Amino acid sequence: MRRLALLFIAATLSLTAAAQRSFDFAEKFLSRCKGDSTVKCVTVSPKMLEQMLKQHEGDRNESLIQAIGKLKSVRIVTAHEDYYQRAEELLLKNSRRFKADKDYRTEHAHGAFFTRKNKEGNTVELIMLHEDCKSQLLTIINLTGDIDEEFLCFLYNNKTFKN
Amino acid sequence: MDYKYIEQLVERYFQCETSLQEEQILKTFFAQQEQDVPQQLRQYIPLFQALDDSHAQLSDDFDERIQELTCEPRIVKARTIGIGERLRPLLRAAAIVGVVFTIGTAVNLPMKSEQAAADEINYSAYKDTYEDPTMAYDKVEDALQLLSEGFIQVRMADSLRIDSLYSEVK
Repeated sequence: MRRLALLFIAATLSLTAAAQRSFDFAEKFLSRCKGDSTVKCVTVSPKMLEQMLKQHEGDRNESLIQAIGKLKSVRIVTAHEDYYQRAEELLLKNSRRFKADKDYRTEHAHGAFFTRKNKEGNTVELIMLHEDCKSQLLTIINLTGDIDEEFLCFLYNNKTFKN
Repeated sequence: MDYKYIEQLVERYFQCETSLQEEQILKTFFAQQEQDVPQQLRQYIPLFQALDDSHAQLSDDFDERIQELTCEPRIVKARTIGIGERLRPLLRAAAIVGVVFTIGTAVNLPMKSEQAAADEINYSAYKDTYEDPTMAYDKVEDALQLLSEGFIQVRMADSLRIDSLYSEVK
């Protein structure tokens, strides 16, 4: 009986240990680019976002504040344009987690959107790959949070955020 | 008539000393009419007549009747059954269901938490690039601006496609 109880505890612990929290796409991508100093990442954590929201400054766009309120984290990765394909491949490789969405191509730039949904079907992560052909720079914008209809509406309808 | 021989045979019969032939003689003697048997020997008539009928066939229900007469009736003792004893099968079934449910939950719970964990980001590992919220705000603003421009590009490229993205998220 004692052995059985120990076995049960060991199984539970091993399963709990396996249930680790995951990382966002930017973290996965950065782990692939270790050692390359040209790859840079700007991280804005949930804590910092909270602080941002607490700061009430008169010249801030209210709808932008509302949109930021829906986010949990923002990560902006910049790298040489060669990394675009790597990033895209990594996303497509993890196609069960990240779903390819729309893409665009202009004379000077091209990009693609990827989303991740939770088990309830809500979008919880939005990734944009953007390559500027002029500057030969890749920008990855990785947002996590409540990427809902209202948030997307805000992005669609705002040509400029700055007041 | 001298019945001394018969009397002797009867006496020897009760002492279990008679042979089969002598018993047959007694049976034959007592089989005659009652008035032909002397008074002092008439008391033995039923006995020897019964012995003479020993070869008679037994009825089919003979055994049952004998058993009925000999076997004691089964005694059923009254017993008080308490509520605990009465509910014992129900409690056993409930216990089995409980054990199965507990094991099922124990197996299912880590799987669910694993799924939930896959949805949840490990924010504790995040290290902020900026300590100043104003600088962070500017960077977030720029990022959202770029995102917005991306959406606009998509809309311009294919207005129908952007609508489907919108409706899919919706």
